[in-house]
Amino acid sequence: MRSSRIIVFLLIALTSASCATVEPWERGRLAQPEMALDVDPLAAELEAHTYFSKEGASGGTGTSGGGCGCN
Amino acid sequence: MNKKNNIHATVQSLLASALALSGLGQKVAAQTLEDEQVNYRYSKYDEDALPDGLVQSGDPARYQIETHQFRLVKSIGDRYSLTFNAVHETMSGSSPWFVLPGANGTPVQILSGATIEDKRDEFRGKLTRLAENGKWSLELGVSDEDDYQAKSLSLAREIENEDKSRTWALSGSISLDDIDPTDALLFDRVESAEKDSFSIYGGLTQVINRDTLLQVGLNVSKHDGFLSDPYKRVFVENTIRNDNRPGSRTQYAASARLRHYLNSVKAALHVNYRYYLDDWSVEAHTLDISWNQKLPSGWRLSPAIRYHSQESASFYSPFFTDSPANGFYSSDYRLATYGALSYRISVNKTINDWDFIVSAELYDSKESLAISGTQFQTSGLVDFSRFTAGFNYRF
Amino acid sequence: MQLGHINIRGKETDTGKMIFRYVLLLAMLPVSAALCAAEAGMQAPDFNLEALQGDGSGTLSDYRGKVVLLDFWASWCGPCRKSLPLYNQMYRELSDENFEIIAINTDEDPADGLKFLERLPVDYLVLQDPGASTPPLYQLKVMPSSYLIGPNGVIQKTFVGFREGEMAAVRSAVEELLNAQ
Repeated sequence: MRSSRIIVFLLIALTSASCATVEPWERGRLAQPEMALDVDPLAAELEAHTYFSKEGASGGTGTSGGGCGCN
Repeated sequence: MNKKNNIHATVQSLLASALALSGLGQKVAAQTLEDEQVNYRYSKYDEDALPDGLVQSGDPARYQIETHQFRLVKSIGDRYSLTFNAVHETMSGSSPWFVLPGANGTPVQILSGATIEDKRDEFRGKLTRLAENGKWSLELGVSDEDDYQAKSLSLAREIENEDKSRTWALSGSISLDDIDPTDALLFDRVESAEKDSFSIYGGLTQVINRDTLLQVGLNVSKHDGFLSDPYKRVFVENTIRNDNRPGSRTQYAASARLRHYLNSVKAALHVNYRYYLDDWSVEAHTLDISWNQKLPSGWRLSPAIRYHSQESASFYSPFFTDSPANGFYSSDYRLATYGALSYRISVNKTINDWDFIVSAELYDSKESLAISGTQFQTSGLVDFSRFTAGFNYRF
Repeated sequence: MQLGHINIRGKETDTGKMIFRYVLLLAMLPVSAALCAAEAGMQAPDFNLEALQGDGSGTLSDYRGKVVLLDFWASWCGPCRKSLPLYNQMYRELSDENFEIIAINTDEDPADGLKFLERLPVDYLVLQDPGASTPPLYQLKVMPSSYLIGPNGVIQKTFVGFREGEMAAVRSAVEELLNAQ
């Protein structure tokens, strides 16, 4: 299936890509709060919960917690 | 089952290799615990009323939810951190009940007559332990509503490589849910049911260059038990029947999250993409893009846009003129083909150890927004607006 | 490698299996060898850097004969919010001794370092190195890191990263060197 090939391609590309070496003292930009994977963890949780309750899809970025009988 | 054994065996070997890697470590434990802090957010969620023509009966003004979120992060020594989460939600309003074929075959939504009033409480506790080359975490959670109780357990492991340019993540979680629908006998609903969920996630975060970070991940979840909506009904061959879905569901979600810093303007671009597929035939693409702009004097402005498109479950239809062969049917709009666009804006002000946050979201869904275009008219698609205000305090 | 397809009935998960096995394969890739930050026993490389606050500059060789704790830090480094005040406290307590702390700020924009010091000021010398000429000399592996240098200019000990619980070890290493004079 086309989409599964895309996933595998991403994995291969990512792990074999010649990424630039970033020295420890060059990590300043990556350390900025705006660069976090989740800038606001509570907002991310609320959004995930809302979209899970109101849409047909869920998941993708980790596992945690139980569900709810969302109406 | 063959498939089950295969996944089980592969997961076991994956866990074993992760554990083996945990033994190999540098002498350097350069990990840091999350800053100690307390966070609070209040949110108000309001669904738009359905257009008059699409509602036959029931209160068209839909759902309203008020949410209080609380989070506490506390370090224990240099190696352990405890995170406590609590959520208190109150919900009221009416909800889609079933759909009837209207005058010219257009689906018409019937909403629940009585206003639903419910509250939900959730508590989670997570213990994180720094390891030589990463971290472990264990989380326990409970969620409690009048008609739904869920207990969950989650275990996660992160492994960083020597120069911290790459982090592997692996996690698994279990949720055991008990469903006891209200007014079961009165409305001929199932009185008591169970649902068990098992989920596993594997991900990789890679530093691409000094400005760019990419995370890719794959999530597989399996649900077994009562997966129908006990409050929804379906019009099938001139009878109204209870929503009836298969007793199991396997979901796959693959995600990619990019973070790119633009030093010249002091802003970070976030691009998140998720591809979703399950064995009910639901397929979805979700793209979320945000711009996180640092401004002088501790301000930050973050506008965002999200596009979601999904294809319907194989047993979804607004109504059925013929009874489906496999006996599964649902007219829950959440399993329909449609697309949704939402716009968010968030403002953050930092003063010393305090952050003050205000954010809002507008969400609009339409059949025609789906990538595949309009297949059929659904009814009951939701539009909502949300407002949030809160603070963080680091101590 | 045959790429299977996800059969929507859920009977076959060739792709799921394949992805899991690929991730497994990658997880087996050997973690590379031990790090090698500037080791104890090496002569501490000299430098000449401008001060972060005000005019002036600093050279390591000026401090030959003293016990020196050289600390590499930046405004974006989380543990630095704890390490700088704790180092400052130690500096004040040992002010009568033959002891100096020299901090090298590696922020690419020194203004960020200055802003950090406005909230958490220190009494000891802080130099700026936005061009990052000194970290490679000291083979810096982790931010922050500090190097304990003896009066003879030789690196005695390296502290990689910072944890509050480590402060006692830093203090006793400094005092041991001071007493050995």
